[in-house]
Amino acid sequence: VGRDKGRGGREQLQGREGGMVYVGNLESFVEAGQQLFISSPGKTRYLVKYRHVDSKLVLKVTDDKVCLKYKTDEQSDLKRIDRLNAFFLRLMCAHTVNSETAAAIAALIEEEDQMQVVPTASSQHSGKKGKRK
Amino acid sequence: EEMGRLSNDAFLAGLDKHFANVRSAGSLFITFKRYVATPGKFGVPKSDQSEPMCLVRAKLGSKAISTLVMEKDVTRFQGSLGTMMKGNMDSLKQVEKKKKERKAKTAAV
Repeated sequence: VGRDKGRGGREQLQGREGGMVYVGNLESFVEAGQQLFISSPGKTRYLVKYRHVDSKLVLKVTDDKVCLKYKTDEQSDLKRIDRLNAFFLRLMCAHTVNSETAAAIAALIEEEDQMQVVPTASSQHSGKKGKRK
Repeated sequence: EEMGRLSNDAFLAGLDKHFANVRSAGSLFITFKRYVATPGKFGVPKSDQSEPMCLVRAKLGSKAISTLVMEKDVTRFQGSLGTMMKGNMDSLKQVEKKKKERKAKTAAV
């Protein structure tokens, strides 16, 4: 695991070596961001930057050592981002922050999300999805 | 009244104004952080609330507002915030599903 400086300073390994990193995939950003918060709940902050004129939305999660960013210009990302907001809001108020409480909150948000989906004629109560491990 | 620490509702009202103003220019920053009240300088607790809260800040240019959200208010706050964000962030592009699949196919080639 070397510091591949030859590739130009910015393109470092995701997070651990410090420096700003844009994550290409929203889901990966969400995963990493949530993990970062769980590992340093006291220092991590989550930021949303919106520029209407440029149609740009940038997300950042950092504990001032590791910095993760994601940028988008697509409406379709808003739904996932809304859930991420819910996750952070809830976990930040929670009495204790660890993987268990985080998982519980993630499950709660998932559940609420499912409930908002308009049931089709043949839908069973989350029968198809089941409990994925 | 000075801009700054507001109630949840006042904050949401202020954020709505920020969203209206950002349409013409600028960057709107919304920050979330865990806030745990620490005892004051001489060990005297600052307030009755020792529970963790979520500090939410919103800044547009030099205008900064903030609020503290408690666990009991989080569902309501998050709901309002979500509606506001989805409603106001409308300059983001709608990518049609067809275009997306075509994009994915060309990317995969």
